[in-house]
Amino acid sequence: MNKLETKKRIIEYIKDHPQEFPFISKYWNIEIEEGNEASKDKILSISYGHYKTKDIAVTPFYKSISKIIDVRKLKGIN
Amino acid sequence: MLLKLFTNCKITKGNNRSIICDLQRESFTYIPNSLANLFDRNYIIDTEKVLAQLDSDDKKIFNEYIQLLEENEFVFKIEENDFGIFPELNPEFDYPAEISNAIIDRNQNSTYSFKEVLNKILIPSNCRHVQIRSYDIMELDELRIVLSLFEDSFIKSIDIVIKDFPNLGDKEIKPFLFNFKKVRTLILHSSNENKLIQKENNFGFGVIFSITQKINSSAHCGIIQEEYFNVNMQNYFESNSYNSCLNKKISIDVNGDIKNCPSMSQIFGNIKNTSLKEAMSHKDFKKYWNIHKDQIEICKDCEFRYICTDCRAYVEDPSNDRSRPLKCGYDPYTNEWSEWSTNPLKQKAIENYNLKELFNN
Repeated sequence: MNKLETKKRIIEYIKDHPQEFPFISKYWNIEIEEGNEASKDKILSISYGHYKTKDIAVTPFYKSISKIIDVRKLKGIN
Repeated sequence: MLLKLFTNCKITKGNNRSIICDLQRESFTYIPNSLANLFDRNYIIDTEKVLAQLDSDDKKIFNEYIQLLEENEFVFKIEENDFGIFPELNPEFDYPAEISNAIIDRNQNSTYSFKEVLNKILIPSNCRHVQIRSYDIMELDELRIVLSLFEDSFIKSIDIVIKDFPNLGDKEIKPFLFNFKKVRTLILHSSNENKLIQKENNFGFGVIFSITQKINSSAHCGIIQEEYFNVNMQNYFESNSYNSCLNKKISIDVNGDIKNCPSMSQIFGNIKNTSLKEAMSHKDFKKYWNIHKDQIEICKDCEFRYICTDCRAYVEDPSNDRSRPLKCGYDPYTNEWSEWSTNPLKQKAIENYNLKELFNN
């Protein structure tokens, strides 16, 4: 099953089983993350974003904890 | 026409220029002080009133100013009767924990256990964001044990800075990190090349890169660079009233000593025999928490003062705890960045802190 199909099935499942999820669940942004290439089992992990936001990347803490890395040295790397 | 600055857009005036911080979009834009001065105390510009006082050349400049404000969506049109329905943001800062972030330093001689740090410091203080820094090689098996411990705890994010070692290849480190979803960044220092190994694989988490910078002690910390600026509501309001680095921070240095920051000399006990309560009840534990940027020399004239992170461990004048950070190369009077380590005015402090050896790395 590909990512899109998985996502579709999760959305359908949430819709069909509202009692198992919080009331806000119909607004969740759902993203499927594929397992890494080295792994034998292609693990799928699922993340749920915030209500009506497109950006599902989280900022866990609002500032850098320390300033030990000379970040300028990293400019332009990719 | 009346134009009001959006409540989430904050002007910080510097000596020569200002910035508008868009705290919602997490970005900042330079503006001239002459534009910042046009806003009244309610952050409103009465365009008709201003235009009536200007000649044709100045009118052209003023129209450019308004264009800049509108294009960046910093302002909106408002009726005079509507002033009251757009209250200011409450500038008070608080955080739902005794300690918000912790640094845990490690080298090959460290004997304290991470379990002790978790149970005696992090859990009682409700601290959920941790940085682990190892100046020597930390084998993956050891790191796995530490990360498994944190993975099962209430810790929300972990940043790791460890020394790179020869057998650690990209193919090994990526699958290793895949199993630890709380790791936000893994930085391999003293590496052969500056390289981004993994951009992210986990919604902002799982970033891996290597850097040639050799880091062998906490003396490397305290670098002030534009890249470290944080434009967001929490940092902005914290910086207004508290120290942007040390407020609600705790550190365990390589010896297991409890400090505000591993680079500072004052010790509040050792993790092996001191509780969080004992450490925090020391009269000096919160000594620097309330020193904010408006009280720090030179920083108080800097337009970046509410988005940068301070450093109290290394300052230009070690005898003055309101002195500016030593490792900042920005001059708010010329608006230029320069290399701090070669600045003649900083050499005395560099010697005082024995930082010369850093430049050989």
